[in-house]
Amino acid sequence: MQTANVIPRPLEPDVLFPASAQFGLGTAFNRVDADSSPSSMCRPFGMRHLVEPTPIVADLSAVRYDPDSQTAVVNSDGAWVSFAKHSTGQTSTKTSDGKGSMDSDTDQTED
Amino acid sequence: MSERTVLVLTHWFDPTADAVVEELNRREVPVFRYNPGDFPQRSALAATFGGGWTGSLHTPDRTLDLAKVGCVYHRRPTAFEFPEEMSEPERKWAAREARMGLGGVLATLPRWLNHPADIAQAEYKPVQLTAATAAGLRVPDTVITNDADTARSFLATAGRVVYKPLSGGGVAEDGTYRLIYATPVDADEIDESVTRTAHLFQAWVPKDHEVRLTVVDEQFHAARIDARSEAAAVDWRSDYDHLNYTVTEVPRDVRRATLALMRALRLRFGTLDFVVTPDGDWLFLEVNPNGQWAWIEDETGLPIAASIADALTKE
Repeated sequence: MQTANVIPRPLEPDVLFPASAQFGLGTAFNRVDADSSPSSMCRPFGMRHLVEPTPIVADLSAVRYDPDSQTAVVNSDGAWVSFAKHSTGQTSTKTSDGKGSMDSDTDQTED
Repeated sequence: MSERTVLVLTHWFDPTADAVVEELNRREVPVFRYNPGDFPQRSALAATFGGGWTGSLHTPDRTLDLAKVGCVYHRRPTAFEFPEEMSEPERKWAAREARMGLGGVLATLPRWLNHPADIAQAEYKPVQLTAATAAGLRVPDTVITNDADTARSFLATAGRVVYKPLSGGGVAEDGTYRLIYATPVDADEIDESVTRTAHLFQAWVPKDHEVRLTVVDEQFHAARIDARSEAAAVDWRSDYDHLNYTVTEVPRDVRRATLALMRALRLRFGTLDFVVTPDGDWLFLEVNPNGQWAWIEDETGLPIAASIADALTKE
């Protein structure tokens, strides 16, 4: 099998394509959100109620995918063990670089 | 031991899916974990039609024989990724072709938990509320409007009212990701900003506690949730640190109606939220056809992963 050796680029949802819901796909994992648009004077009522969830932070630098078990494993004292920590609806996973550009992913379809 | 392969569609870091994969591994059931986000750059599809689709899906680590798939577990697959060098029109066209090609071939697989088309339909709250009522569940009075007068009128008659978003997920803005929980609103808060999109207002239901019910086929896993903070009492999702979980039973009439709802929505899996009033009445709030559940298993010991593994290997 040959695969392309290029930098992957996440795809924006194609909201105008009517069949997209027939095979729903989420945003790319650990995608950096670069949208810095400020709120407008035309803000809908519901958006007044946005709040920042309390994240449960996982250090992804210590986690890797194990192709044998097909699960995530975490380095614990030099041994790779099952990543047992489960997410709630608001889990945010981050790979910290100590800066504002920290990669993040929040489970967006939970409630 | 099942000889049929369970295809798990999700990205690599999904601890909830891990719980099911680990259970399937323990049972020695063949598993193929696959993320469409790896298509087309890190995986290859080769499918041939000859009365039915046969062929394979390759990743760097494994090969899936499409004919051997017994059930598909649709968790959190992510979108296709294409080379940076592609233009936006090229990427959009390639994504449509990938969706119709890879997604179309996968759509022909015989059994799903849940089928993504059913998930998409069931995500609509107005559809849920209609189906729940038809199934025999009680639902709080609800208004969806972009008319400020209609909203004010509902608030005036319903008493205490909460605003809830109609769609799941939150908003990325100013570099921050934020969510909207159920929020109490007063009539004097309603203004022209209501006109700018659809808004859902729902009558507040006096609650003794809430129940998160996870249904897998006909297996019910009900967790009672008691809130220990003011925020959690309005919406428990807003304050996970102040919740108590205990296993509870589902009344027979609620169980019967819930099964009817699941059938109507064509769902084999769902996480449902109920308010239980001080009088013991159960009111349906919503069903999430792809909801999280692993933390409920952690908190209560309810064997949800095992139930899902049962459902995925059912012949």
